[in-house]
Amino acid sequence: MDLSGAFTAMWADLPAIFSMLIVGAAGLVVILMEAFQNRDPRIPWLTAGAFGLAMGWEAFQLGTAPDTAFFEQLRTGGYAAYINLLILGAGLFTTLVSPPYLRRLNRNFGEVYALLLFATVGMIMLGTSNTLISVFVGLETMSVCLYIMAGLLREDEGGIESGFKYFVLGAFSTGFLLYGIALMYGTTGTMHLPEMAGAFPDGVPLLFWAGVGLVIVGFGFKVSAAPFHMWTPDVYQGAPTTLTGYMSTASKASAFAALILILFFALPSAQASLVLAVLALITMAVGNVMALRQANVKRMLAYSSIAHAGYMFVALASGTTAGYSGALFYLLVYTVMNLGAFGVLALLEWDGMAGRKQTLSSLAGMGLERPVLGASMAVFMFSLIGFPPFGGFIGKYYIFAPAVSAGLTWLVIIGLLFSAMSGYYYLRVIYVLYMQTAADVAEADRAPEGGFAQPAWLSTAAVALCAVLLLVLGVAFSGVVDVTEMLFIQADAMAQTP
Amino acid sequence: MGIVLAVFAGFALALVAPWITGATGRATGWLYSLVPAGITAYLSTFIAPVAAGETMRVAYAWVPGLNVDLSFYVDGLSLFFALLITGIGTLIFIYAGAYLKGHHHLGRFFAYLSMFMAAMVGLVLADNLFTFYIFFELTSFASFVLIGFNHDEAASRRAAWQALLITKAGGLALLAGFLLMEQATGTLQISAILETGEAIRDHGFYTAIVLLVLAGAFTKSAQFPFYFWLPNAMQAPTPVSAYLHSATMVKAGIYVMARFHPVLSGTDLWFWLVGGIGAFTMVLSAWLALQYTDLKGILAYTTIMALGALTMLLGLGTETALKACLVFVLVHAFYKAALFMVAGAIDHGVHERDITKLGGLRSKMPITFGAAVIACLSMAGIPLFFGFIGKEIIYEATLHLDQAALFFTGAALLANVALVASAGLLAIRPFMGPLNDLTSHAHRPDTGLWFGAAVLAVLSLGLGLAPWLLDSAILAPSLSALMGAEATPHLAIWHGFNLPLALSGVTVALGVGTYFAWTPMRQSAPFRALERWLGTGLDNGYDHAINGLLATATAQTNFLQNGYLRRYIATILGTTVAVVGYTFGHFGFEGPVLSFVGIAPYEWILSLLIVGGALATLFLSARIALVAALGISGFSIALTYLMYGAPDLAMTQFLIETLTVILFVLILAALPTLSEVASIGHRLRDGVLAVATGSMFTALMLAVLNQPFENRMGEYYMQYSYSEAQGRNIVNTILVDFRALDTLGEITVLLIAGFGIYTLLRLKRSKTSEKVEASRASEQVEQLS
Amino acid sequence: MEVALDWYLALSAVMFTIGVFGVLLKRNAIVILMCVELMLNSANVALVGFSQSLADPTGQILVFFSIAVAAAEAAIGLAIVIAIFRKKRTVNINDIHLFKH
Repeated sequence: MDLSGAFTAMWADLPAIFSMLIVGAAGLVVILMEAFQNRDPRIPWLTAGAFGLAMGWEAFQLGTAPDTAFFEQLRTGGYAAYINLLILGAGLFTTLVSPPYLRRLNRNFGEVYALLLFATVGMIMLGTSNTLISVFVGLETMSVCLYIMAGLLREDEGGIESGFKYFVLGAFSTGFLLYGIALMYGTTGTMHLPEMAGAFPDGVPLLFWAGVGLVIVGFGFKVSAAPFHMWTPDVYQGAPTTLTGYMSTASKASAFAALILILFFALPSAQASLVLAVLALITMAVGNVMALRQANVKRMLAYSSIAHAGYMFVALASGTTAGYSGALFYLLVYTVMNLGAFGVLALLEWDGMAGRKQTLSSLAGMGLERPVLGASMAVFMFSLIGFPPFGGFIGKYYIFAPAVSAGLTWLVIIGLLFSAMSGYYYLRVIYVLYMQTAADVAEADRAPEGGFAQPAWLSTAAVALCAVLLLVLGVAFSGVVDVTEMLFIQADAMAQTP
Repeated sequence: MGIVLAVFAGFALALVAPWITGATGRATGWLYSLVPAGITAYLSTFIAPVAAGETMRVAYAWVPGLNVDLSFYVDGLSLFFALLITGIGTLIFIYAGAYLKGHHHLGRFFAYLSMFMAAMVGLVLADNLFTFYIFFELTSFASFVLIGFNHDEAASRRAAWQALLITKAGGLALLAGFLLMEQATGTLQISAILETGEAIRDHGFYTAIVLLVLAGAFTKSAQFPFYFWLPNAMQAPTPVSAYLHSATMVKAGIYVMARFHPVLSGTDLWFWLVGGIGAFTMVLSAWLALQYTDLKGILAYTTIMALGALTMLLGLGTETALKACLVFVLVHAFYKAALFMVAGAIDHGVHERDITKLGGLRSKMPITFGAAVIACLSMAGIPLFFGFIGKEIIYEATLHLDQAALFFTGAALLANVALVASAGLLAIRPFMGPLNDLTSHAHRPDTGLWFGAAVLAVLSLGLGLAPWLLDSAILAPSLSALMGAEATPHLAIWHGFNLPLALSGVTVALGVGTYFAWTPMRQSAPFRALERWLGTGLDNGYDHAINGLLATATAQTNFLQNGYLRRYIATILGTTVAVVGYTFGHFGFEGPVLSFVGIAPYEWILSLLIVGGALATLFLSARIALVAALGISGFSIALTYLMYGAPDLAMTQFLIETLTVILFVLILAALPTLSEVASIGHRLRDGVLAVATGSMFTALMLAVLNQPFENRMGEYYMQYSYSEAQGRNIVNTILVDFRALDTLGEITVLLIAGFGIYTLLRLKRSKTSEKVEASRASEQVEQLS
Repeated sequence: MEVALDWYLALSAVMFTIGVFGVLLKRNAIVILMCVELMLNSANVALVGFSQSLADPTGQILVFFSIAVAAAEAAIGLAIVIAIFRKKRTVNINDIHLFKH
């Protein structure tokens, strides 16, 4: 660590965090604007602009070779750009669908956008981290913002409960994470992930595993892997829907990205496979079984996101580069489908309580009344099941195939059986949206007359774009697969010559 | 290129159909039928080369990274099925145009129908497991939308959903089977897999592959115990029933078994599983058919019977059996599609499908009647009709088995007897006898409504008279592909007086007897019980299974997700303890060597203060005392940092601790006295868990102490810093350069948190802004890093 | 100065355990918050101990961040608790279970 040229190096490294700077600066500007004028209408546009600008920047970085910046604190290059694009894209989508939604909830504060931007900075840091320090700082920056976002509806009993549960459990799991980091650091003597693998020429000590175990517990919480998932349905149900969509996608994407980096760099050759496989099994079981009986769509989607975390763990358990690139691809698909699904729910929300009281039945017949939203929702549901030709199918294929190659056949078969089970609850949404009408559902479940707002065109377009993207990902996914594979081939080379 | 076009033409039509149907009016059916007709014509050009032993393969790289190609393979088997699909498709398109004439969603209907046809063509021609699966699922989806086409009826909705759930679940099993197949053979290319010979049969995955692939095939092709969805699927408009649920889609499962027959069959497992279940399904459904009076009900169950027979023949796997299978696919497709069209024409004209209420229609719809009679004769296997040929070979195949010949022959006989009776019911009941109130108002069907049935009837008759026409052009190449070996089959109209012929005679005689005993038999207790248990019974079983699943889900959800935070915390902890405990067990845990040598007295005191303060937060309940305890603990930690030689850290901790204490004091002052209301039981349970966690962490720490890592790391570090930096004062460098920034960050945090307190005190402003500020603080810290 | 690593790691384990006890056993949201702070502090002590004995500063750098995070979490946690209290007039976590199943 030659620090003589530290400050010069810092300037040279600035482009590496261009997105973070843009997004962070936008957050600060938003706070200032809000201070001078409440609910300044330009704030969402500024936010969207920052996200868009950062995305444009990252798009150009996709093909670049992996490198590190800031004394190897952060990763740059293709992998980082891919993850950042995912996170920023989720942010952009959320910014586009949120203003009309939050206006109806009377929560269109500028601070919401500032939180969104700050959370994104944290996520970018987490997803591109190369040391456990940036993992911790990124994770916490993100979490602290998300706690507030979850409890945004603080006059509502549900909203505040959502924030509270998220906070208590989140802080608790942070304790585990930090302790795990301490142990990993203590046994290896370094915070740098790539150096960890080489720290044990003669056998990995027990204590290192304990540290990894605690870190996995911490991450398991963030990505809602069972049995650390329990906050997920309660938090998703009470949080404002568009922000739930953001939480369920971007935060998971960055947490998974960091977890992949930790597993790939710090763990010598797939030795955590069994633990991850068991985690995958429990998570798939819990998510899929518990989603079956949900009457509230948001809650159902919460369990569904747990189930999808389980599928992701299947890919991680295979411990091969193919598995990791499959996981990366799945993250993209998952992000698009979930954002879209929550977006549709936000646009079809009428209860003024972030949809926490709204049953699926209340949406009966909406598929035909709002054709674009309905068709998009159908695409999301089919994709979530893993139905071709949508992205969800390719994603599932791409994470299950490497797992079979890695000898986890039993896990893949169980995973597919659970996917079959998931058909029940996803298809029920389509069934209700398209095949039922308000007359078919119980009086208590019906939406009030005129309860459904006319959706804003921009939000509708954003949702429809997600649906189209899924179809594209399901048919012309070759390019993306190439990118995700290349990331690891490069990273592989990099791991060998640190 | 042509093949790709042939596959995607249907999708193209599906895209435009909803928009242009308004303009095509009455000619819609005829016009759209040009698409399947054109594909048929194009595919026919392959007959000659394929018969000459050639196979065609076109492949476009789709996702090279995953070895996924968009590839199609034309051999005898795929061509056989493709021609069947597009050929019958042509007739169905014409028929659907007439049947749904003037329907306001006609365009949508044709879009679904063409999508289905294209998916089906793609399925049979696909040469990549991946693309195969995609098309397989598309057929399920098309079936779903078509069954649910009349979605304002609850029964349609239920049927559509049921069919989708069942076939989708089976589809995923199939996908799992495919993944294993790829693992066993190392390729996704179907034509290459077929060349691998014993690779799959010798592989450890063989049993799993067979079970998974069969799960996909059996659900799709409605084998026991999954067949119940098929009769329900008859809620769909009749053209759909005729096309999807009798002639083609349900044959996708048969195609799966046939396609992979060369590499999967030939074991006892295959023989008994496929043959046995096929035979059981065949007999059961043939007799169940006689329990129904609805035309489409009878047709549905006889379809299941045919699928059972085909499955059985694929299971038996001898050359004759496979030949019988192919012939019977054609036989069945011809008569069954014809009969569905007849049933639809009757329904269309009379709005009634119950055969006990129909009668005398022969005068109202003579051509339909003629077609129905021929189709039924073929179905009953009367000589001179195509069905006769099919039945003869089936008997021949079962009679010449090496094992269990008697069993399978008996099953075939039993099923065929019932089939003859069903054929009688279908041909005679609606048409003969006098006209009644209902049927006398029947209107004459359009050309489109009888055209398809007539063509198929002519085929049933013509091929019955000249079956050898199929020998070399169609049958030989498809049979060769099915067997994975050269075959030269020959179909003859007359085999002389032999055992199969005698069996045919017996079949017809018993069938006629059954026909006349139909009404009392149908109402007899055993048959009603049969229907109750295995007809609607399985359907109810499906409901029970779903409900059971839901009940399990409810129970699990209620138990695990009870809404109480303490349960959540306990779960997290319990799991952690279990996992780490397992790790200890796995890696072995050695007793610690503790050495607290050289602990200075003030260190003892500080540590006691820290622990004491921490414990006090647990046991005190007075508000101020609590805060004080927390503060003592925190400040002692700050002092510890000082001893570590980290004064700046200590200072930060000191400041932050001060701030935290102030915060807590302010908040606690605003809240009522704290009361604890946890019950003894909860306390006990949580206490046990907490003790376990504590022991685990203590064990962890003891394990740390066991590690002689200090020195090693020290050396590593020294080597590292001497070589790359300017010596050991690197720590100072970092402290000076970077901690300055950090400390600046900390100060910002303090300022902003202080501002937070201010807002909390005022309690007027929105809470959000203060939260934002806190987050912004950590934000800035992080940026400063 | 030389610090006995064993000693401080043991101390850290004890603190962590006490924190976990508290989170698990207490029903008062604020006390739970305090116990979470304890857990973070205990990890800090371990980190600083490791850092010192490894003669590597990065551990201490992380502690800086973690102290800041603890402060931010405390502020937010208290704000949320206040909001809960205003809405439900209680801070007992057993009374907060609107969402379940």
